[in-house]
Amino acid sequence: MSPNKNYLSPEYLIPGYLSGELTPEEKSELLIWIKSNPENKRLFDEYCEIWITARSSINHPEYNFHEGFWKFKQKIRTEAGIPEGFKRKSLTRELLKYAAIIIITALLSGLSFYYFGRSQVINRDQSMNELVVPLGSSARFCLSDGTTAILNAGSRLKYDNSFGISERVVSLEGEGFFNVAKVSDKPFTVKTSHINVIAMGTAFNVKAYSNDKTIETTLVEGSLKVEGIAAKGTAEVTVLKPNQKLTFFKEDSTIVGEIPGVEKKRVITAQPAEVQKPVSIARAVTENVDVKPVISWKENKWIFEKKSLAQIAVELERKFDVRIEFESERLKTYRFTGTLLAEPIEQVLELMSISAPINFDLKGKVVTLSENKNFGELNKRLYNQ
Amino acid sequence: MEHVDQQLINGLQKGDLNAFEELYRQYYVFLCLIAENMVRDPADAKEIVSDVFVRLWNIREKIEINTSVKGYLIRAVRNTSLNYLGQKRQNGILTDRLDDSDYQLYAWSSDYPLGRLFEEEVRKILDQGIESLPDACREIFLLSRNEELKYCEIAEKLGISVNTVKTQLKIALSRLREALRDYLLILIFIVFL
Repeated sequence: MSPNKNYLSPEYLIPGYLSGELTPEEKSELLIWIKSNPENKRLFDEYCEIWITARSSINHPEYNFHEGFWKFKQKIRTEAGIPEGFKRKSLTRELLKYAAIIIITALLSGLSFYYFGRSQVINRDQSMNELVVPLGSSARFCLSDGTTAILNAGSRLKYDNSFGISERVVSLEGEGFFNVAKVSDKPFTVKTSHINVIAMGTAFNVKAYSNDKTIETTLVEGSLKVEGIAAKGTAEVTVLKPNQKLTFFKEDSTIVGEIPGVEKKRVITAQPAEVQKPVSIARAVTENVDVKPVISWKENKWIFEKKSLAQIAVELERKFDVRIEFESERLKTYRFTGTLLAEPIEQVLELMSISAPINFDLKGKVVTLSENKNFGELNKRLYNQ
Repeated sequence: MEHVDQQLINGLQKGDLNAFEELYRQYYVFLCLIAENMVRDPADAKEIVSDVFVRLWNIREKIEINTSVKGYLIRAVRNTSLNYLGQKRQNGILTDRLDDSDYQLYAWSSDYPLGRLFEEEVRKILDQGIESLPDACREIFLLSRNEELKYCEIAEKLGISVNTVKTQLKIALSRLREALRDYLLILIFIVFL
């Protein structure tokens, strides 16, 4: 305390500041005091916090939330004038899209039943069914055994007419989420280029695009067996439990995984049992996988965590049927975390360009990404908004 | 809390007006007070809070709230208020009531307030803290908070000096700070994490 009786430490100015009592001189005195020491600043922050909270628990007729909310509704109505028209249009389009999916679903399941019915009578050898989902879309359908499958953009699923009779086997290229109906004695097998995924009654996701370096199998519930294909250098079997993911690296025919729980990669290498092939088989499993991001695509949602722009670009290309070109290699290493709902590509790019120093140029089906040198400025503007 | 928040966020994303109304009900007064504390004008404070909600509405589909809705709103109100102060400053229309130090104070102090205390249970403790202040101290504090009386008005009403009012209000705040110590510690921890 100061020896001068009339002098009070600037700390005593804080209540005055909070209730708006200070003269400009006192305010600058307070400011200097606050800036001079982090302790002082903390004290100021805490007093602010206490004061505002204390004030919030008494009545403030001037701040009536009903009135506030009413004004808010008025505002969004007037502001939405034109955009609302757009919204309505896009809603119709959405509905049409869903209607189309439902119709396609009905057609596909109908077809599979139909062929199935025929194949029982007629010879089996000629027909193979193939479902093709073009880039930029996804489709849900039901197989004759009651299994539902959702296929992501740019995927194809093939199955024999005899599907469901003696065995249940489908071949997948691309990404699919399978909810397998339980049929005793008849496992459900998804064949990919390098591995077979064998399920009883389970739900799982397989990502096996031919232009990806890996094949990823993620189990949501039930249990799953993944076997390598002997001809491709490995016949080893891995059993997956729920929330585990198996990553298979195609290049050297190894199955590799990581365990994020302990934050390190584990690669188990073993030699194939029968012959001493020079090919190494490595397999390991990712435990405690958050399956939500993995299967978010099937809800038309897209969750990504710390994904590099290079990876995101590949998925954008599939999702929107575009080609993405990088003007600078450095851009590929930017990482993003986020959730996107069904949004047009322009909006996705827009979002990226405000959260990272990226410029985009969309011409037809080609997107060019370049570095945004003025990003600092933009960021400042956005932050201050 | 977390779960409720998630539901609320889902509602916001879908443009569910009930979710927005819920936010208004819970946080409107608190947010207005935060804004008012910065811009010193209730009408402007309401305008700022309203802008924040309209912006939230406009970006609802893309919204990504990592912490809490409350945290997001507080930050948004703070930034919008600061922007408002910045504009006034640029246009040279700051007054004695609202001068350059106000702007600097907030521009510089980046993490106040966090609304940590704005939880039902903490507010109860705060109320208890106010109850247990020494009589004279509590009376002065309540006159300032409830009736929003000026220092000189309080001094006159109670027949004391303005300096006593100042001292007692400071004592009130430091006692409350002591009572809320644990919660404020959490607050510091989170800020510096």
